[in-house]
Amino acid sequence: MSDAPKPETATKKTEYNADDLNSLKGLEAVRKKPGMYIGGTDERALHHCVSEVLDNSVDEFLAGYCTHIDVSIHADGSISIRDNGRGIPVDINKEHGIPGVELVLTQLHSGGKYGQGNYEYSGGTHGVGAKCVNAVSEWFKVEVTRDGKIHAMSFERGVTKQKLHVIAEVKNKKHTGTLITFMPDPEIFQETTEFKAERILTRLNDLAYINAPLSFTFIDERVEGAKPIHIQHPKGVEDFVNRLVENKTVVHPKPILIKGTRDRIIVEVALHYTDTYNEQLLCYTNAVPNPDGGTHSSGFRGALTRAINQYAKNNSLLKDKDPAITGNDVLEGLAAVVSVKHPDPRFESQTKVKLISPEVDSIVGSITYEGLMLHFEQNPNVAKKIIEKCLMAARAREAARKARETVRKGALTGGGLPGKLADCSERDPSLTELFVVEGDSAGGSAKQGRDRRFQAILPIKGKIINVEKARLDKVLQNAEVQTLITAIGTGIGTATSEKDKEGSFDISKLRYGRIIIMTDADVDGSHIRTLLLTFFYRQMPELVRQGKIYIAQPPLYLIKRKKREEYVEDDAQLNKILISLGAEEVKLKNLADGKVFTPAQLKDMLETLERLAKFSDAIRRHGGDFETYLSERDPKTGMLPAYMVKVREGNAEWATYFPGEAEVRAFHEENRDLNLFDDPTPEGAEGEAPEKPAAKKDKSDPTTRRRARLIELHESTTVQKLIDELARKGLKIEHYSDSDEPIFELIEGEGDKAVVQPLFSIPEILSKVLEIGKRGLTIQRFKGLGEMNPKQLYETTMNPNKRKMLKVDLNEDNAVEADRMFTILMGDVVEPRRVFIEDNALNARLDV
Amino acid sequence: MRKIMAREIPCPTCRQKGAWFDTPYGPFCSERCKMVDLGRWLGEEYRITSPLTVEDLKELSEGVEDEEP
Repeated sequence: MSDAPKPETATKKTEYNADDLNSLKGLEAVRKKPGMYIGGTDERALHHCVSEVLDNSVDEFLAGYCTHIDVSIHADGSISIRDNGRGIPVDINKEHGIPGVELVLTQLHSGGKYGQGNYEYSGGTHGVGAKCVNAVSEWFKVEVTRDGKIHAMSFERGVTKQKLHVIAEVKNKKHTGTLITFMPDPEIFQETTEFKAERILTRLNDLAYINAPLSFTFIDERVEGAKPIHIQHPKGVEDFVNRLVENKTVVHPKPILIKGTRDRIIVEVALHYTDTYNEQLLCYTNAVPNPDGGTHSSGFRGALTRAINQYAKNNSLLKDKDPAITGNDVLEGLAAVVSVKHPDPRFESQTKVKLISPEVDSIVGSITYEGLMLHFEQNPNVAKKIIEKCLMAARAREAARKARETVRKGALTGGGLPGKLADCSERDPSLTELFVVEGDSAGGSAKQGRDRRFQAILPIKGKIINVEKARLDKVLQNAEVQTLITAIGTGIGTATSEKDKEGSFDISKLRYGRIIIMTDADVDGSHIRTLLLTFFYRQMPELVRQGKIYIAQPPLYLIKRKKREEYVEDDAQLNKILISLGAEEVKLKNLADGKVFTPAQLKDMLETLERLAKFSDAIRRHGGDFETYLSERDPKTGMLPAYMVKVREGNAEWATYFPGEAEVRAFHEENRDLNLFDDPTPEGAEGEAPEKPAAKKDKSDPTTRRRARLIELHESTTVQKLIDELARKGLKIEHYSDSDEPIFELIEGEGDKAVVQPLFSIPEILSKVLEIGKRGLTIQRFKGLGEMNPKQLYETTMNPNKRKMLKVDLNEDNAVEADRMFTILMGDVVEPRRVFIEDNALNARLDV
Repeated sequence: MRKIMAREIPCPTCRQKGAWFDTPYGPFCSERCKMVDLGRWLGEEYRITSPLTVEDLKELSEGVEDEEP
């Protein structure tokens, strides 16, 4: 036996004879300790046998001879592997006096892979492969096609049954190859001797990817009518990565491919990022998978991390506050194949699960780093996208760390309650309330005014980031968010491990039955409220879902009349008060019949008008005109239009009203370009399919493009009722618009001092009375909670017996809307933002 | 009107659409995206920006004023 070191230079030998094979004797050892040689006796070990034989054939490919390998599982459960390599040598080995093929299949530690350079890159474990399989096979046959002859030999449980003999001749002398067929021995494989086609196919695919353009044919003859499957992946590792990212959304369009050779080590890398969060990093040495990675894996990961950070730094893609991108961050969403071909690889164990050759780390590292940097320089968009993806991972990691730290910190400070929190004495959460109050002064009032038995106060301040160029930036400070989380007590996030459970969200730890957001009724207040609500909705949705979040409704006005003061919650209530005050001062005379309304009648009628005014606002918001809308009323039935179509043509805008759907449909037929309905075009109708945005197809001529919106006027039913009600009170709807003649007289005062005002339309009644009601009043609009003293604040806003609150209600129907609105608030679109603020944050519904 | 089918909503972080609402990470698609959002809260990245309006300035200078209903 010779264990001569490999030559430093790879010179491919042209001859491959039995003299090249060295040996160690005895296969008995393998049968006695199969675990040592094939890694066990289970299903995995069974399939490992197939790999051992395959690896020998693949080695012939790596040596430059084999191009195709056939694998067949036969009906009897045996398997055969045929390659078109050189064929195992059949001549007599001078040292041992037996044919080469017998030597490699019967003598331990013999084979072409010990020295002499027949194989530069080899997946087979030096000389252990095929002979071990022979040892654990019930029977084992080999046929070698070489020098124009087919030589055969057979074994049973590692013992030669038939000596090498020629069974046929082939005409073409160039026709060479090896066919090995074996039946696994049930004495060894006591669990199972059944080959799994899936498992073998996976292996063949791996080999085809790593050894492109080597091709395979596989057939499972146990299955009736089975057809051979052809496996070939011409683009190799690129194809492999393409398969890994199949059905996933990729971050950049094409995989990144890197190839290089250093010190006779060939490195091939393909990688692609997807928007998923898991990693797929597959490492191979000489086409053998190394599931535990090793030096090629570490070299690759280190280079990837360095390249991403270096490129980001060179191109200023990282902001100061961005966390550093770590080795774990670059793995998120990564699909990569790292394949090395090594003339003399070293593995941690016989099963080759981990590569330990130390030199591979720096070789893979430098080739990967240079390849990546070059690719990034040439494809800055790809680099940017990958860096963004990694940053997201880094932020997520940083956030999770911070969140855990926050909760841990809270736990450390004994009881963990923030100093700013004024807690209540009651401990039963079902009885308690937490007021999250904007601003220190309001917080102070709330602390003094509260019922400290069950009401806790947490003052929170929105930080104004900058006031420059007439812009205000509001943000919830980090400390405020942390304080809030600690005060609420539930923790945050989802536990990913037992260790994290401490800080993860647990509603049973909720410290208060109600969390009430109390902010000023101004823009700042609405900003803070929006931030808080969005935070709850995103990070503690369970609280919202269970109806734990409320919005306090502090009064909007304070009205003073002589020495009396009254709080008024909103505009509707204010108008009601003004109406009743105004109605006491005046009489209304209907000029049509000379009747004078009593104060009670007048008040009642004004309230109806007030309600009607709300609907006229609604119609106006749809883009219609209330007076036109009323004029479209059917004179016979008295019905109001049920639909409105708003059309925009160039800069002009007009609205049309329709009594019912049938009329809209008729209009639609005549104006198909408006696409009022999404129905398919009837045959022959211009032959064009309607597209949703009205006139996408008219791109050529934007001036004639028309857009339309169909609005169903749900208001009509109620408006109808209100009009009927007014009619009974003597107010004709025709008088809603201005008349030429006065219709009513408003009389203020008695007798000679009476002031008479002629009125020309119905809406004028309301506006005049409101005007009169306001006389002698001071109406103060509250800017902030701080304008109330502690007692007032408690009585108007906090006292459970008197206050009004909005309960924040959330379901998936309005989740989309809420999210969209928050996005608008964060952005630069001014108009929708203001509408949103005015309409009050998120969908809240009234709670009594 | 409640729909029986779970509705697709965009994940607030990655905008990917899916029936996330009732998932453990809802309204996010995954723990990752939820954590990214939390990181933005803690990193003070969520800012509401609004242009200063004439009304703002008025309010700042006058403090108290009568309002039209």
